[in-house]
Amino acid sequence: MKIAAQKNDTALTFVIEGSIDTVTAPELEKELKEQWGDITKLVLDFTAVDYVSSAGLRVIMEADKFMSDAGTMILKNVNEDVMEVFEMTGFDELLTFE
Amino acid sequence: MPNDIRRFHYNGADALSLPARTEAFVTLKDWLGSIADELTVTPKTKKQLLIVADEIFTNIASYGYPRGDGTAKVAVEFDMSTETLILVFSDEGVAYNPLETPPPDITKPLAERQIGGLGVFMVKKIMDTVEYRRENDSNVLVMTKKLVVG
Repeated sequence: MKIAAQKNDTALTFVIEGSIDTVTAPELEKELKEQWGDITKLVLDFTAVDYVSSAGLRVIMEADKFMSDAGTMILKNVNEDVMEVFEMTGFDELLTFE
Repeated sequence: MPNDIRRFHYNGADALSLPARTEAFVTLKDWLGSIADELTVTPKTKKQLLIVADEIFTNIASYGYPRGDGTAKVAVEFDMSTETLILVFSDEGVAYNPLETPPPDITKPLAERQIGGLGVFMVKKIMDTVEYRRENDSNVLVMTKKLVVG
């Protein structure tokens, strides 16, 4: 997994590439927590995300918890296979997609 | 017909033997990924199999051996007559039947959710059959999925 982070004032964008799995999810969590301090908008660009396991869902859930107090979180360009995992787990009803 | 069953070997061994630590998933992912490629499954099926392997292996790595190091074994077979993949995980850790994990409430807002059980929930959704047995002080989980092969 690779992350390209972009911070613009209080908006943070993470462009994620690869799989968010048991090995890489902790890296994503660490990067997020290091950078989300004062943000009001978080964009997770999923264009190049291969798949997400429950370890990745846990990090997304944590980010959602944090951002529900701090502002908004958007998942961008989620592909069909990843969306199916969100649907399977009910995450699709609760997240904001663009 | 036993002749219809193809067993995948890892470096000549009948199964892949891994240290039960999360980071070892990389080896499992590479191996299972190459088997999926060899069987020419769809990209979606390949991803689903990797998710299943991730969930089961992570459970063993996280909870199987609370008192120290242990091993997880993974065997992969393909039944050519039914085009069914058979994935077998075994470990000698504490007795744990993942099928007894209560399912998560997937209708709750994320902020109120407990993440526990979500992995096993996905495994059950993705695979056609999931069976657990405790055998010779080992946990054995046998999962099957009929593949869409190209």
